[in-house]
Amino acid sequence: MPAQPRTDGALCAAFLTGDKDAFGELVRRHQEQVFRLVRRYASTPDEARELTQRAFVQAFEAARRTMPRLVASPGDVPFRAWLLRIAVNLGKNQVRDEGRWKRAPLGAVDERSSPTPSAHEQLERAQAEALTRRAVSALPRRQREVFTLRIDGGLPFAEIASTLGISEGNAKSHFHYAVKRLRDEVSALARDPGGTP
Amino acid sequence: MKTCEEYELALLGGQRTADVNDHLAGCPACQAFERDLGLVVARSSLPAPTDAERAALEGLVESTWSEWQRSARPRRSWVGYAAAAGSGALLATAGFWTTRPVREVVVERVVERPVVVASAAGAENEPNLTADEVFFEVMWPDLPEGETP
Repeated sequence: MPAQPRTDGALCAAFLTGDKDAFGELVRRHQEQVFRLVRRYASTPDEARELTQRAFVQAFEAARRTMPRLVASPGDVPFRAWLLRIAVNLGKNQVRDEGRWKRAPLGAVDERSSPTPSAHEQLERAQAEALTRRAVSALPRRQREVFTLRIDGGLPFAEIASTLGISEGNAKSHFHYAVKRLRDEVSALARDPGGTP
Repeated sequence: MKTCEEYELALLGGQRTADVNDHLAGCPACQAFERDLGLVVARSSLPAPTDAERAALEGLVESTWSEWQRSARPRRSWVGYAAAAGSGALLATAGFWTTRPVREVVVERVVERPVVVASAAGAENEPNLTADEVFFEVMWPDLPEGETP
């Protein structure tokens, strides 16, 4: 019978007591999910990688600081929930710090596009993406977290709820408001693409 | 009877039950919401990661490990400075204590009190917190201005 894979909390506890392999296992286990969450906010693959790396380092740092103070056993650290929350908010900070999305990053258009669309189609798609990114980053914090975890992370509402520590109904409600707000924001941005969000 | 908002919430979860379909057939507002939902999700969804993006993840374990080690250095030196400052303060206190004028104390009576055993967690004088309380108290990454978790 194959051995049960170790939980995130157990791996985290093992890493913080000196097991470097546990560090690697945790990063490999979650790197794609984190990358999917931050790539919306990054203009190049390297930038997305950098954000992914920072999310891991901050999550490990959070675990290092807090593990000794937990009521439950150290193995119960909700590492994945923290990691995903950190990733979503690092992405938002990236937009704030660099003041981007006035215009679509053309370098990224070339790298992301499939070989078939015309240059005009690529530009239109990139502009639509940029408008939506601006609108998503302008959402209230909780709506943005729920929306990003749902659309980019592909998480079901139940998992979003446990990640954010809210009820499933609350997660749906935030998504509901986010959709309505985005519909209005994207329409307004499309009319005034140079305006500030 | 359900409200339109309840039907909209059902649509968010992808629940197209007979009940939802019946309501949608006669409700232009919910039909508009379903169209908007499809539009917003379609415009928000990013294309699948390209090969270049997938390649960016190669070697992430090693580079993250290096970053963790690098970030640990200032942490260690900070701990070192704190330890040195603490030791200095202890020495100064000890020096003052040994040279202070001592007042003579006369013991008139002795009161016995029950022994109190400190718990392991209380030894650090810090309250026990749940995982989320700890997280939000001490570790929220670069919180944007004007927002509180």
